[in-house]
Amino acid sequence: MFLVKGSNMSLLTGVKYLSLTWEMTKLSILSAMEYRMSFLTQVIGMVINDIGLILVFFILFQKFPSINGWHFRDTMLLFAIQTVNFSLVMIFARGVHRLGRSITRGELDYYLAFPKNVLWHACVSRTDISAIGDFAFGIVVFFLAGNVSLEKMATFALVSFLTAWMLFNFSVVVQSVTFFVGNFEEAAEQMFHALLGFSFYPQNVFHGLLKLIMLTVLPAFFITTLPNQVVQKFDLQILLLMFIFCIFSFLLAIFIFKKGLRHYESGNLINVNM
Amino acid sequence: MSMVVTSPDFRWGLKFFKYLEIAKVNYFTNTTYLANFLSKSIMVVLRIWIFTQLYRVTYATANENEIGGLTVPMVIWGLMIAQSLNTATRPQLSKLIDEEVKSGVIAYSINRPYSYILFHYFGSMGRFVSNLISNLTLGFLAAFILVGPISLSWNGLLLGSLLLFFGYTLDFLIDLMIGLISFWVEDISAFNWIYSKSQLIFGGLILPLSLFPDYLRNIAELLPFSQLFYSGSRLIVNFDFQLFQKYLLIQMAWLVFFWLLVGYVFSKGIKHVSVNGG
Amino acid sequence: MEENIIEVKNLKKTFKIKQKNPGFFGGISSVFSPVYKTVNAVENVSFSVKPGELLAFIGPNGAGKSTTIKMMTGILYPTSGFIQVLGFNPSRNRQQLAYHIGSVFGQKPQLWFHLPPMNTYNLFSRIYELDQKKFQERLKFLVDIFEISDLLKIPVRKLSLGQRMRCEIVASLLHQPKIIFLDEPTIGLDVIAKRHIREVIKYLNEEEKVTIFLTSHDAGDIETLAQRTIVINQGTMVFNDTTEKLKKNYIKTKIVELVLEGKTDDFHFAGGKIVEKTKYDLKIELNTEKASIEKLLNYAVENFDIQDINIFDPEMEEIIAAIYQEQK
Repeated sequence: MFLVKGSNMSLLTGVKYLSLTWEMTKLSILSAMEYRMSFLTQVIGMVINDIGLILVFFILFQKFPSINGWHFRDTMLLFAIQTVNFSLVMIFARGVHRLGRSITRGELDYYLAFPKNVLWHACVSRTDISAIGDFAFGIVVFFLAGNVSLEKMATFALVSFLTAWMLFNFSVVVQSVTFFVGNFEEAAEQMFHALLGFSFYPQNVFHGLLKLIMLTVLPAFFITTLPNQVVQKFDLQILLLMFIFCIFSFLLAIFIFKKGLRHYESGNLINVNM
Repeated sequence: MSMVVTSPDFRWGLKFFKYLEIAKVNYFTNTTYLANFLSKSIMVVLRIWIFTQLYRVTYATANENEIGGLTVPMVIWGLMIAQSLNTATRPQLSKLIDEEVKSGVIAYSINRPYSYILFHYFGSMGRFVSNLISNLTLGFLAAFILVGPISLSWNGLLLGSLLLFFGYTLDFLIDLMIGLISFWVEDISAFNWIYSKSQLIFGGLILPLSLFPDYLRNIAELLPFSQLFYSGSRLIVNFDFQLFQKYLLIQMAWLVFFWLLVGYVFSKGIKHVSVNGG
Repeated sequence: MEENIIEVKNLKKTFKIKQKNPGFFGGISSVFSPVYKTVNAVENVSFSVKPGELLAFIGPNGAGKSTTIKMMTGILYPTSGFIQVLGFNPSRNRQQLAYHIGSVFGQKPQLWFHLPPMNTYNLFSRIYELDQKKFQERLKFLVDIFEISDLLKIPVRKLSLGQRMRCEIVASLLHQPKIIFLDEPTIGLDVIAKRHIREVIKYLNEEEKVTIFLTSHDAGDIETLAQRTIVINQGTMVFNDTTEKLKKNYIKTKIVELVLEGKTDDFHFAGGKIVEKTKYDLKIELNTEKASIEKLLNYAVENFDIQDINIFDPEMEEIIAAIYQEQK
């Protein structure tokens, strides 16, 4: 899945990487289970956290039941997709949010010593346990939002996977900026939150220049608006568009990361100017 | 032999400069990484941009010009102020204290020749002010461009800012309180989440309380979360003396409550540290 | 003649460091017109290694040791120069090379901290795509020579530093690497743990014919292990010859510290120079060519009541100073 062009991109390698991803995630969860109490507080805490966020919009829609034809139910679906795709990244590729940190502190050394793709290795070797809470929350909210059919469930699953992948690509791009400018950790984190920030609000209120931003720098249009539309009402063209964007952003992410890796300084001297 | 020199109580001037210096050091450290620093302010701008589009449409759908005493521009300016202050308090103090406790540094830092609590109060203040200057500058420009100017009153500015200052102090106390929990609890992140989500719901950071259904607003106004950065910003954009009295009263009650609580918990916690040998 | 397993020619690595002015406006100005300072971490280093060699690579902090190793393992891209390891270009064929080399970075653990070592070993067997049967045999062999059979099921965080280091080294040997890079393998360990690790390293080199590339601050590691030593300082190579020669020419001294019961005034020993003296405490720099430690101790025991003895190797910096002096 996270293969780089030029290497032996066969189906077998892909399967190997997938099964290794699963293996490492299992180890991470096992590792977190060593501290049962902390494990539980994190998962349950995250569920409460998510409920809190959706409550804001519950209150808003109490006062305004329909905003330009958008109802609380639509917001629920939005939250369902968003928490599930976010949790997929955090469960299977948490390391992507630490890439910047790994780069400045020379932590990539460890992954570079293995005969596997560095980007893949650095990303999958961490798991955010609390994301299990997000995942559960997202699934429950999806069913609570109503009108569940088999077709809708399948679209939901597919769309969650695709958008998770896009989120991953976006994070790789912004975190890789660290290779070129040095310290970009917090800025990258903020950009990620900015991208997620769009996903709380009714998608039909955005227009003008802000919409342009959603189509380019912070591609919330592809990660939030379109998937919501597709799950509401199936549309093959939209799905195709999302798929194309996903592949495009993936190739871009890999290109930038590989370029950046040449500038990697392995934490030898970078600390001098801290 | 103890190396700690306790300065006599009458040397207030020196004490003040000591804490001022702590604030200054934090102020400058925080501005070192410009990209990191500015990205927070840009987030504020982006959020109020989204809010502008959201509330314009919301008001239009409801076919109203003024809801709960506020027009769209007032809502946006108020959200801008609340967001600027809230964002400026990050990273949370509780996380720093948690790290101190986990690494054992706390055993040393409570034995320095300064008050541990005041040290953190002024340290946070230094970081807060540096963030705030850039948040408010960019936020002000953005709000001006997005919704245009609103008329402000001197009363609103003065008394609203006073509430914001108390609000900052209240946030400090609650944040410190959560940090101190790490004396007893391994992982305080759950407390942090609950606090920040309560702020999000009842603190008017996304949805101003003036847009709440009445029964909910009455409850929310009594909670400490609305008394952090909502009450002050609400009064700045549209001053109301009765509301000011009410908010001030609620705020003072919570300030005293958390002040006493922090004092109690801190004295308990210190004993805990010395029992565990740091 | 045997072919070289590692070939390094005119290797160079420079880092660019952004200069930053203090304060807010300084920060702004460095965003728009950054000023860079170039640092040469490695300059014009050339050497080669034959299969089965046990080689020490030493130098003070910041000399360029790690940078060189990192370029040899594909972690860093060289600025210029030529490297070939096992026939691979490390920066181009990093992944293929990684199947055949192993590395232990003393201060960067690879074992999963909260889990028993066995979990990491199983994961590594998957990452290196090992045949399960061969992996089990190999593991059994390593567990025996490193004596870690009791440790396999204990979470790593509960192991002592020495135990942990043994488990770490096993992790990097599972895939039967042809070359092992050991970066400070004995750092922070006690004397017994050090000896154990040295013995195993020696055993692997002699019995399995594994090529070993070792860096260390510990002159003891080098003296007991390495046949050949390369000394690097400020990015350039200053010595590349047998360890025997290094010892003979440059490590001529040991520092012996004695704490005596009586006065130190009448302590006179030929071949030892007193470098520090307090009332009861003596530091003697012993020239090992002229006199042995044994002789010194015999003299001390016969004539004084000894409370405490410490023996030190000379500092790396002194060895390098000695090398420089001779080259001039």
